[in-house]
Amino acid sequence: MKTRITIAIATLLAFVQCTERIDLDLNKNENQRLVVDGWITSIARPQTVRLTLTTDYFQNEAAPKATGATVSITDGSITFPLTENEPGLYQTAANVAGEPGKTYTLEIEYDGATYTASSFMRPAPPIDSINYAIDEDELDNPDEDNDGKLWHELFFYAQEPAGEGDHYYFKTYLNGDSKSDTLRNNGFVSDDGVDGSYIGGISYDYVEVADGDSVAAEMLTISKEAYEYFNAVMLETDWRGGIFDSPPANIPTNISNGALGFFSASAISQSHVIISL
Amino acid sequence: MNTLKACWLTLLLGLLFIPLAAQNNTKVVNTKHTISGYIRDASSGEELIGASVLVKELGTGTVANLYGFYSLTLPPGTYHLVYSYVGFQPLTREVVLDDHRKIDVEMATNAETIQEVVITGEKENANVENVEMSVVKMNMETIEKIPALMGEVDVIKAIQLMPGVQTIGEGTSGFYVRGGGVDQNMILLDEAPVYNASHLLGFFSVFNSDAIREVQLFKGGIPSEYGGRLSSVLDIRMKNGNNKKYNLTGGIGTISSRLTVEGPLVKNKGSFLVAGRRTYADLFLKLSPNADIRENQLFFYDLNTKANYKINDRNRIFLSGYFGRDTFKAGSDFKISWGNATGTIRWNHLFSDKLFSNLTLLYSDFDYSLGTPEGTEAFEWESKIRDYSAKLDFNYFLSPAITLKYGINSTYHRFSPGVARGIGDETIFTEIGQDDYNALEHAIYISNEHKITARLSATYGIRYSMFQNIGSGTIYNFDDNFEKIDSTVYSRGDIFNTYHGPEPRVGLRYSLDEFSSLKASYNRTRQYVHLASNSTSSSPLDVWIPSTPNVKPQLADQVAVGYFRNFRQNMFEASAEVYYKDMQNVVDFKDHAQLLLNPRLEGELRTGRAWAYGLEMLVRKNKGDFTGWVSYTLSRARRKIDGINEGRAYFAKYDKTHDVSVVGSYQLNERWNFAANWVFSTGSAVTLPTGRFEYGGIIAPVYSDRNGSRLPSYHRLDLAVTLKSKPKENRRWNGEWVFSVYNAYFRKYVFAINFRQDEDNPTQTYAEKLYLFPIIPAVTYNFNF
Repeated sequence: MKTRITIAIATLLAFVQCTERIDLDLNKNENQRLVVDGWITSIARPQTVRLTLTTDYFQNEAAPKATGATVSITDGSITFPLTENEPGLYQTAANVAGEPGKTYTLEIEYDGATYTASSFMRPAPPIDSINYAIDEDELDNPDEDNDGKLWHELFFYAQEPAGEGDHYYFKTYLNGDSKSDTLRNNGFVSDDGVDGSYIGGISYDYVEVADGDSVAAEMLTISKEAYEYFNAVMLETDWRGGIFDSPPANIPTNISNGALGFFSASAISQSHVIISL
Repeated sequence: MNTLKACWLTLLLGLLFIPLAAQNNTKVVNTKHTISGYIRDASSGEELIGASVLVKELGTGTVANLYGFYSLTLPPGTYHLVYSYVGFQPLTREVVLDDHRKIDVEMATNAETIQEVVITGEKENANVENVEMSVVKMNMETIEKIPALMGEVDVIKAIQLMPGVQTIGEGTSGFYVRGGGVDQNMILLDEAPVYNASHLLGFFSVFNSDAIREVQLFKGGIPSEYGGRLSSVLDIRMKNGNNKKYNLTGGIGTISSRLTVEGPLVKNKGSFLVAGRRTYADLFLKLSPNADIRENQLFFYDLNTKANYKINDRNRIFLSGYFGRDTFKAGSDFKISWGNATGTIRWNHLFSDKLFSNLTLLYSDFDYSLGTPEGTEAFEWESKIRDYSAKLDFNYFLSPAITLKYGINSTYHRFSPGVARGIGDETIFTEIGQDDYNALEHAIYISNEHKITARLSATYGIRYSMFQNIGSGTIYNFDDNFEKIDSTVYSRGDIFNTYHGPEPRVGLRYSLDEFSSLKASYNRTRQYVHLASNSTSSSPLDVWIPSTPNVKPQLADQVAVGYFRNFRQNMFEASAEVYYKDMQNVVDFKDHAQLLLNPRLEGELRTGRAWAYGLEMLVRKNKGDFTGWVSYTLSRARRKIDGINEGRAYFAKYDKTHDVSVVGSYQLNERWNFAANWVFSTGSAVTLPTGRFEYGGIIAPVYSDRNGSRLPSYHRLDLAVTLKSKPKENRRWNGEWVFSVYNAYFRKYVFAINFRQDEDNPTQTYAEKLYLFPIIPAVTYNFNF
């Protein structure tokens, strides 16, 4: 709801504002910092932690990988070691799954320093179903060259459990592959304003699909801190640019010792549907 | 609490008693006589606020109050009274004072010649002679000559050209006075507070220039009768309406049109004024080839109304109202609307020819609503703030040396910060938002304008203000980390929290000679309501919240010292002032604060200290064919708040080291006027990234200090030419064309810098500047009938 408002106001401003690329000299960041992108979920699969480093703002090449770190995740009694399968990509064995209700701690030793982060895995309510409908724009202006694929809007049905403070992150899979791994294309919501409601058919994503395609939804529970972190990442990047922006501020983190990024323990519930055109 | 109430009641009764005592007094002490009356404009009957009366023989005098009333008590004798007012021909009256006299005078503007007027050699040196300092006064004639954005004459844009008044960005009607926030300005329209003075996202202010008579901005040395905000008071008075003849004034502009009707209700006894304005940008949208755009709506209107009636020589009643609204509608998906409404009823009563009183009842409302009317995401959101006030003010003209002002006022504030709820059967939304808050704000004040010696004058006074939270209401309790612990519910009518304190105000003027003086002032101000908005622009989505047990009142102390000098027989006015202002409990917001629809909003607030200091210089020429001014401000505004910028001091976003305005107007002949203004300022303080990191496919910035970098400096030139119709005798219809150019040399000022990730090449980041206004020409036709 709030996002819609921001967008509507931004359109108001579009009447008067213009943009232009400029060259700018910025102060350089003094020291490189470790950046963590870590997850443990309730589904048995290699649980993954990516480690990179900060750079100058106009670096303009991929972030350097942090290699040679020692990484593990523990629930207090069992510890899962992670191995560096690719530079900067650290994974557990394929059969590791977290359990809702437990607190997980990530521990990283890198370049002589130790970094830790903890996250509590909240249980995920079931998704009743997902559904689809052809996108209206597609009907109005059918796209010619698309191999029989059509844009569809996805709808989501689930009971939001009573009690404030639930937060969710959504991912969409097309024929088994994650549609997108960037935060930009995946939704995250809080139960503010919908607490305890039956979510009966909210439009949550768009996919371009053909007859017989399989579409799956994953709903990950995230903590309030993770929600605020995602929100801050979006506020400082894609959602920045209007004159209603709050002042720029550093994105928070749950990693200790001056590192950046986030570690989240998330339970997952799933649902899927086969497209029939 | 009962003792407090009792105290308050005693004070109130005491105040009421003074006038009665005073009346008795005049009967006992009968060695002196009083001359009193009103000073008015001969052509319209409008009272001249602040017009001066000089007793030639004694070298002393007085000034007309906000209703044009003056009173002088002198020993018997024969006197020459000289009435003067900027832009008007001075007027001299001989008075044989052997009894109380009532003398109403009507003054003619310089342009006209009226037979009875005796032109004297008296010059205007109010700038030097008045005790008040740190004041910006502007008449509408001056304001109308300034080149305006899209031809819309705007009082707030005009005061932004004076020293000590800053803006950020461009074209916004928000302003920052001496290092104070935009929420620290009290904007009064006929004494009613206006909570959001902006139209169209702040590009225009809500004040229709045709309906306004007088604008005063107090930046410091704030008189005791004003309170409620830390940094400034912008006192805007509407015209009363011409009480001699009917008059039609209007204008057809590039974005809006105006029409004002005024005239006598009963000749010389009462008059009315109705002024309206509406934009028509949305009418152009209808011409768009795009169907979506055609369905959009974007407009504002405002309506000013006023009526006054003189019941008899001792009683006069004024009614005034303002209604304004902005509406923006994007097809059937989204609609937002906001507006102010104010209403004032005033009753001027003369208890005696020395004691003037005014009783005011006022109402102010600011509200906005937005929503999506249909579908699963249908919702509506409403927010409101309403004030109901009663004020009783007295001016007691004891002697030419002493004028007492005192009064009492109470306001009932009702805040509804915002509730959003789903509407219709399909909606998925329940209800989120904030509870209403209710509060009472009271103040009592007394001040004295005292001419101590021929050279030394003082204004000293004290205001005592009090703020009370009153049920019903829910107050959340927070721990040290601003996390909600629990909440306390208060029942209806329960006064559960009280703040109060004194606000001393002192001003001194020492005349060095007829043309120069030194002035000094100190004032303390308290502010009990706070604006929860941290965006750069004037957003319509303002949330005002009261002080509560969690949010302490803001407090400011300001000292200012100035040197005032007029040159060339008052042809040029010059002043230099320095000030230092210290502010406590100023409000800012935690990083990525969620200010809208947040029931635990108070947990997002952070408070701390702010301080500001500066030097302001002004040289102004008010007479002759060429008029205008040059102003320069050197200033600094810093803040230090726990939880922001890791507790280190940082620049306020409106900190500007240098700020220059040059405003000029040249009257070539009766028909042609040329005007230009040029502004320059140091760029705003901004936060720019020092590094970046990747997360989830997004490149995000890393910052060091808040507001540690600067935008490029800002400068802009605006031009205007006015062509009046040929003057002819007996012609009632007078028209004029105004051609204006905003940003004449098309500088693409950096309004903001955004940092973006290249869509095609995701490892690339680049900076992009945002600028708002290109060169904007505009044409306006104004008429008067």
